[in-house]
Amino acid sequence: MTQMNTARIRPRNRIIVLIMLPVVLFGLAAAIGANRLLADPLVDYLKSRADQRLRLSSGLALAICDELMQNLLALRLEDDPAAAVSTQKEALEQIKALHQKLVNVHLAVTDENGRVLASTLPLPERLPGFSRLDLNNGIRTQELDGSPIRFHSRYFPFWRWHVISLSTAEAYLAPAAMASRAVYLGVFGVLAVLLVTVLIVFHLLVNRPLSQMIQATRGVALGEFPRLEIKRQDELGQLAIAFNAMVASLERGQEGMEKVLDRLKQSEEAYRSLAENSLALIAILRDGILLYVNDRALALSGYAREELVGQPLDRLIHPDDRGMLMRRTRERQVDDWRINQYELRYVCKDGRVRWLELLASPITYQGQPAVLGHAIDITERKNAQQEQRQLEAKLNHAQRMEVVGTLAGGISHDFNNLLHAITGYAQITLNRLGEDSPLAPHLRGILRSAGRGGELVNQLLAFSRRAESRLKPVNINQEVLHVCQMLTHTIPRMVSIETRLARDIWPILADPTQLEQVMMNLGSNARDAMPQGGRLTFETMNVVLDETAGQRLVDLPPGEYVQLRVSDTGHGMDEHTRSHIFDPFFTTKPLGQGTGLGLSTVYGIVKAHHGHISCYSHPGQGATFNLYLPVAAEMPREQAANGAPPPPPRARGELVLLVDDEQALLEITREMLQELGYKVLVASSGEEALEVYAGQDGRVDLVLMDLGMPGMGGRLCLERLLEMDPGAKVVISTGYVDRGQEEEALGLGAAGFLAKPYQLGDLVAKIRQALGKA
Amino acid sequence: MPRACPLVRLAALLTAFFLAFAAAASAAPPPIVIGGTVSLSGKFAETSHAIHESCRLWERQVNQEGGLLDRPVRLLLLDDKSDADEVGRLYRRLIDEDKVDLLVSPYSTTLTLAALAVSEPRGRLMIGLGASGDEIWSRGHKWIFGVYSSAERYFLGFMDMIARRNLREVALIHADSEFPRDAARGARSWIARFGLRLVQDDSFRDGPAELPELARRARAAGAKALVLAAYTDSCYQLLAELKAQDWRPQALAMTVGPAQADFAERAGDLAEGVFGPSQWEPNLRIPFPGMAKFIAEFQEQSRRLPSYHAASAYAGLTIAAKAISQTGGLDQGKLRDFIWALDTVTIMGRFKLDPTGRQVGHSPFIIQWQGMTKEIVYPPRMQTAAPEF
Repeated sequence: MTQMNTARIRPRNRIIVLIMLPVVLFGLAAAIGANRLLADPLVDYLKSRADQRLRLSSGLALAICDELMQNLLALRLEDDPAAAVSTQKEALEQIKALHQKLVNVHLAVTDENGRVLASTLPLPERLPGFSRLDLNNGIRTQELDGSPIRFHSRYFPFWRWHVISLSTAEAYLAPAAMASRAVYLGVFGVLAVLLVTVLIVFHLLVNRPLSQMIQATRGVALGEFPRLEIKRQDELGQLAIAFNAMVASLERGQEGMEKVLDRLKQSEEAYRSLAENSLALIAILRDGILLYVNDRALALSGYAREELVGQPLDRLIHPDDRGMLMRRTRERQVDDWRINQYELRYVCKDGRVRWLELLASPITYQGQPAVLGHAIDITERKNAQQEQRQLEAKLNHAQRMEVVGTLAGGISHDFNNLLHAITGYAQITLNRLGEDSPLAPHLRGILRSAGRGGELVNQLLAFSRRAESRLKPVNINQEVLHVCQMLTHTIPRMVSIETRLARDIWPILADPTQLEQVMMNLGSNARDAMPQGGRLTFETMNVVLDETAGQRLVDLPPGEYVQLRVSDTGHGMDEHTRSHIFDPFFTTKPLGQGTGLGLSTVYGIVKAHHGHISCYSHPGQGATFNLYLPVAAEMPREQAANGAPPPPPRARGELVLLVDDEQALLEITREMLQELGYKVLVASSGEEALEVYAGQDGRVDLVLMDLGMPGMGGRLCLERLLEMDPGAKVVISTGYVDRGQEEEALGLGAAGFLAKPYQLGDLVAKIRQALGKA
Repeated sequence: MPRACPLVRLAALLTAFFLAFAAAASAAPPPIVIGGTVSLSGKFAETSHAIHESCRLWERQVNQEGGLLDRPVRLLLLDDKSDADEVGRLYRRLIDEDKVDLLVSPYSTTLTLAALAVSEPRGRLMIGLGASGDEIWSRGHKWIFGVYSSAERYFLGFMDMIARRNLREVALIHADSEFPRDAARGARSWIARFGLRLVQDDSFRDGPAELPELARRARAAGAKALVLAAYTDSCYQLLAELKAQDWRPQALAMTVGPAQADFAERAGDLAEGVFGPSQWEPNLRIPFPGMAKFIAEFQEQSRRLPSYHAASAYAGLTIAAKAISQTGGLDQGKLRDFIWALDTVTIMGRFKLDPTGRQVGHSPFIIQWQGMTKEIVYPPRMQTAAPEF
């Protein structure tokens, strides 16, 4: 405490105290010593002075008597009683008057018998023992009425008087007390003067320069560089010179320091910016306690700095990862300076769990070992990876579906060519034999089987999205109601059908037939899932998908959609089943009871409509299919009236060049065209077709050409034909039902496109359309 | 007409000159003559010699300053051989034959009374230069005035001092003549006044014969103080006797002898501590006007310091000169009236007469020889040193 107090004292005052205290103590000792040494002699001296004063006073009084006696003697009146009485009276009066001029001394006159003749101090009439007062002019102290009185008497023999000077004890001893006080006062006075002098000198010679120096030092402390005025050559002057040199040095150092600080500041700002603005979380730990965290860590965790600093890191770590973290910490050896890298989860203040990729390296922080944690929040990456895996699964699924679709498309092409040949020959044969022929039922059986085969191929084509869709604006609610009406005839009564149709449902672009097939297939699938009965529900609603929702549905751009939800209360599916339900030929039904193409056809149709289908199902909880179909810009138009197709018109001998590498198709198609009155030239490749066409010298009216041919192929052949004869009319026919190919062909200048297998009427109509005779 | 001879004419001129000078000389004012006697021999010779020297000093000084009333002053001092009969004869001559204008007294009361016997009947004013005996003033003399204090007051101061010192027992020895008797009478009265006790009171006629016995008596009487009233020779005789008896009272006072300047030279160590009355002392610390000049010129003239006898003669002549100047003449009556009315200060101090012509303005000092130096010890206001007992 004393030191704190001493420290609080200003240096100047401390110096003053250091000077004054010894001086005061010395002064006290000097005063006591001086009092002992001086007081007694001084008291004796003052007593002697008092005695001298008594002697002097009595002497003065005696001188009065002498003077008057001399006057009396000079006048020779010493024997004159009247003159003697008068002179004595005068003497007493003068003695009393003399008393007025004396200090602390009284005067008295007695006769030789001690009778008081006059006194300036109240005295008894007679002073006992004063009848023979000391005639040797001695001084004595005598009790008088209990009070000590100091006397000095002179004998005046002319009148036989005792002239007495006397002083009371108080007055007599007063000088002694005063002497003691005077010694103290004197010593203290000298001490005070000495002190004041010392202080003034100290102030002028030391304090003021020191104050200026302190002021200047404070200025230095405030960042200024004041200089002291040098007026003296003594130590303080030398100190001032040294101070100025120091300030100059400090100024130079400050300038250098400022430069260093600027660089350091820039560096610190750079490092701080790196640390605080880092996208990484940075923390410093010692013994598992957080010593430092950067702003990024605070921003991501949601904690304030004071909530983290000083707290154990475990508090932030996900409980499932704490063990791992402790294990890694335990395994870390002392002086192991390797960098640890691992992922873990931490819990934000709001409870969210996020992922970190942590790099931990040992460092020395504030002189002690610590751990620098440098972490990157990889939550988004983790989520992205998960989504990536989901997307990859979906992609794999889509690719698988694409492969299956491609495979199915290729098979369908071949099947269509075969069915086209079977149907063509059977139909030619039936036409030639007539309906009355006994073989006609067999031929019609062939045509029915070929027809079912064609339907099967169409389903495959639908799955592979090579089936040609006739898209038009459709009110899905009407289609739902239509399908539900049909389903009531095919689904057992123990399965109820419900509809929840949105009002003002938006129109969609859809092929009504394919849309009907989709709902029928889903209804049939639901029926099979509810052998014990249940509820089948159709819901429609308008939905707007934003970008996020669109991305979640993988392949839908944001926009307006109509959602069709078909749900049942059946036995549901496990994950494995659900992940394969859209695969072609995947079925859970007993062998022979399902083709495995129902849901894959649905999938293909929806994709062909630029929509999306997903399934949500769990075992025992039924299944729900959500379909999203894009909204059409127009309302659906009135559908054309359905009617039986008119019989194909007869040709007028136009020359048709038929190009196909399939010899059977080439033959059946030539026969069909010849049956209709066309002249037919055939070519089995593109190169042959060009030669034939060139050889006819412009007489070929129309070229019917397959695209998928070996050699130069149909597409190049088309280009060469059009180069040879820009007016050439070419109709492309192919077993691959791909709208891209159709559009490409039409873009190259083809006059029409005809997909295999086609009916005879379709062939005639397309030819006549190309020839401008429809 | 025949022409005179040149030598005759020169002789005639010189004769005429001398006749004219002689006529002028015969026209100068006559001197004022002051006449008296001095004891150039006899028992008063030593003291009177100083008076004589002092008178001559005054004569020279006053004539150097132009005399009195524009007339020179001549002192006609005749040797009386210390004999009273001779004094009577000489004063008759001075008055009747020499026709002196003013008289000065001889030294001593005895000789003065002899002179007064001549002058008083003739109505001649006399300056009492060296007399203080009470008989001069108590016998109704009309034409003499004194300069000395009265002999009765010689021991006033001494008695005062020993009374204050509480030396109460006093022995008194005096010569059997006018002045000593007067002094002794005064001493008795002061002893009584100051409460002292007179333990011995004896007189003597033959000092060398009687003083030893008287001294033994004083010692036997337990005297603390011894007073001798006598003239110079007796003083030295008593000192020698006291030494012979190896006794010295605490205070010893003697008339005449101790006042003289050569007392210590003559008495030697015996002079130490001796008190004595003195009418005056040549001490410049005494602030009387004209003292310095008087002391200086007396020393120059006589090669020694003046005694109070010399000073009193000088002072008496100064008073007379003042009276002549102030009255403008030598009328004895006017001079008497002027002097009797005078209250002034001379080198002796205050000058004031009572109707009898006795000096009452002046008081004698008490001196004491201390270390071969004569110090004034009384009155207190004139002290040059404190008395030692």
